[in-house]
Amino acid sequence: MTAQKLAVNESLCAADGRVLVLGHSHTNSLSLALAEVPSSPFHVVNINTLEGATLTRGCLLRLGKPAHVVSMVGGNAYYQVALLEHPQRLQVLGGPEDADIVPDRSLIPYGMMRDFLLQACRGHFQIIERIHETFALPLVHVISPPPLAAEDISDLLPPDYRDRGASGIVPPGLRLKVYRIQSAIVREFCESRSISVIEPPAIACDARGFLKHEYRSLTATHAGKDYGTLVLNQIMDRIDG
Amino acid sequence: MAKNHPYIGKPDYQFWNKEPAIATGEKFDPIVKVSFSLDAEEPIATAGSCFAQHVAKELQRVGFNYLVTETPHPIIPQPIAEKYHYGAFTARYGNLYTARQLRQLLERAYGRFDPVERAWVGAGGALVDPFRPQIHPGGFINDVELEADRTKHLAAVRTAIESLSCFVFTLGLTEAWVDRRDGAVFPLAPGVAGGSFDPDLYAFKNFTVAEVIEDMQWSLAFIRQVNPAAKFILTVSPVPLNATYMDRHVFVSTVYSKSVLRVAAEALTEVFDNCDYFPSFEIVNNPYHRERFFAEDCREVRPEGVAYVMKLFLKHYANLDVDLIEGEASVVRREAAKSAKAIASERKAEREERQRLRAERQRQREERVRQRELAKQEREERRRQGQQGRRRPDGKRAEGAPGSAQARKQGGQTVEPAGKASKQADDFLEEMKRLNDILCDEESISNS
Repeated sequence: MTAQKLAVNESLCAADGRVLVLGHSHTNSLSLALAEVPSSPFHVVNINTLEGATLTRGCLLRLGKPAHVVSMVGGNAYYQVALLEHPQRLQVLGGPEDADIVPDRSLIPYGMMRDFLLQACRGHFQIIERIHETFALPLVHVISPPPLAAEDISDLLPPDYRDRGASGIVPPGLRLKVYRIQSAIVREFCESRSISVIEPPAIACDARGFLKHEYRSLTATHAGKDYGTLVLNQIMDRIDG
Repeated sequence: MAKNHPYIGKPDYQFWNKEPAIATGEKFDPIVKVSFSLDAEEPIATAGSCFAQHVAKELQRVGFNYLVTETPHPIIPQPIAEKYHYGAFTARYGNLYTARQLRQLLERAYGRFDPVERAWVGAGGALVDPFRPQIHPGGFINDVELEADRTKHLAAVRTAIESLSCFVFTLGLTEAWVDRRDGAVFPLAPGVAGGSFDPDLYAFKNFTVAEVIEDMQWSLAFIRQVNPAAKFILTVSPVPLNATYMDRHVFVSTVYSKSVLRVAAEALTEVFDNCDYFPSFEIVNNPYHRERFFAEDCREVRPEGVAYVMKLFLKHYANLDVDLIEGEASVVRREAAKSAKAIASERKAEREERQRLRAERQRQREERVRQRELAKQEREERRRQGQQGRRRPDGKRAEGAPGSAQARKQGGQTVEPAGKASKQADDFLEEMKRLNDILCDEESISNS
C-alpha cells in the first residue's frame, strides 16, 4: 500500500481486523515497507494526503472500525530548533547529568525548551486526542525516529539549503538532546492519557541513540523502509502481546 | 492688626482643609514639583518590590522606553518568556524587597560579593537561585544551568546600570532573612520557595532607618559612580506586609516598615540631586478615595489604584494627560494631532508589512507547487528514458533526482509554530516550517 492521495469515502472502510496507522510523514517508512508485502492487515493513512490535510472527527469515522489503532502523528516539531542553526546559536542541557556548556552559544534552560516544544507539539497532541476519543480502542503511539549522527547532513537537505555546510547545521549532539526532550514530552502526554508508546527500535539506533545510517531515508529528518519494517514488527508484537 | 505668621501666603496644598479632593477624590494630586522630566525615549529601569512590577508594566504599556537588558533566546515566544519573568523588571532579578538586597545585587554584579549560598533544592529536586527563588518556574535542572543563568543575569544587571537614564526603585520591606555566614540577604525565608530553614545558618533581620539609609546611599552612589547621569525616583510600596516575623500584629509591622522606608527615602532626596521621592504609598493610601484603591483582601492594589499612581507619574514627569476609563488608563498626548498622525503612520506601515508577508508566503507556496510539477515532469521523462531517480550507493543524489513531492494540499506534517515571537524568530520559524514541509514532501515522493 502506498501513501497516495486518498479520497475519504465509504470504500475505504475495510473489514474488521485492520491495524489503522494514522500519522504524518513518518508513516512513509511503514508505507515503503508494506509496498513489498503482498497483503497485510495494516492500513496506513498519511494525514497530509487527506482533504485539507486535516483529521476531523468525520474523517476518522469514515475510516471505519479497525481492530487496532496506532498513532504516528507529528514527530518533527523539534527540528524547528534542531536542524538549521539559528543566527543566535543556541544550546540546551539534556538533563540533570549534562554539564556540557560551550561559551559561544546561548543557553536555553531545559524548562524553557520543554515549554517551547510543548507548544510546538500542541497541535499534534490535539490530533492524537481526537483519534483516541473517536475510536473506542486502546491507542498506541509510535515515538518518531531519532536524528542522524552525521555532522554534515546538508546533502540530505533540499537544494536551496545545501550550501549551509556543517557550520549551518545544528551539531548532532544538540539535535539528539532536543529530540530527547521532545520524546520525553510525548511520553508524558501519552502516559497521562493511558496511551501506550512504542519506542524507536533499539537495533536501528547506535550506542549513543542516533539513528543508524543504514536506517535513514532519503531526507534528513526521516527513517527509511527498513526502519519501517522494524516498526511494523513492533506494532504486531504489541498487538499480539 | 493684620496677622503675621509664617503660614500666611503658603500654597493651598500645604493646608488640609484647602484640599479639593475632600469633595472630589479625583482631584487628589500630592505632587507639587519634580526635579527633572522624562521623555519617552530615555531608558528607564525599574526594580524593587512587587508594586514595582506594576510600574514596569504601565511604562511599557504607555510606550516609554522601558529598559529590559535580560531577554531569553529570540526563539522563545513572548508567553513563555513572561512565564519565566523576563521583562517583569529591567533584569530578571525578581522582587528586591529590601535596600540591602539592592546593595548586594550591585555588589554581586560587579564582583564585590560572592555569597556562600549557591543553590537551594526546590520542588522535585530542581534547583532554585536563593536570590531569585521564584524566577524560574520548575527550577533549574542542575547547578551548571543555574550558574550559567546567574552569570548571564548579573551581566544584564551591569548593562542595566550602565545604560539607564532613570532608575525607579520601589522600597518594599524592612524584614528579611540573612545568612549568618556572610550576611547575604534572601528575598524569601529559606524553606518557603526552596531550600530548608536551619536556624544555625539563617537569622531574622528587621532593618533600621539608619541601615536602610546607609544601604540605599551606597547603592545610589555606586550607580552614580558607574553612570554619573543617572536620575533616581524612589517610591515606597503601598502594599502591606504579607507576614511579619515580629511578634506583633502584621498591620503594626506594616506601619513600622513603611515608616522606616519613607523616612529613608526622604533622607536620600536630600543627599542626591536629581533624586525624587514619588508618593505611591501616599497616593494609594490617601483618605480622599475612601479606600477604593485596595482589593477585597485589603492588601493588593486594584488596577484603578495603579492607574491613578501612573496617571500622576506621567503627568508630572512626562507632561502627559492620562484618562482613567473603566479601570484602564489610556494615554492622551497633549500634542494630540502629532501623535495621532504618528500612530496612523505606524499602523499603515504594519498593515503594509503584513500584506507583504502574506504576498511572500503566497509566492513561496506557488513556487513550491511549480517546483513539484517540474520535478514530476522530470521524473516522468526519466522513466520514459529508463533512468533511475534514486540515490547512488554512495548516498549522494543523482543529478536531477526528484526533489519534490506529489501534489497535495499542504506541505509536510503540520508543525505547530511556537507562538508569537520576535520578527527574527518568526522569520526563522517560518523558514524551518517551510524546510520541514519540503522534507516531508520529498519523503512522500519516495513512495512513488
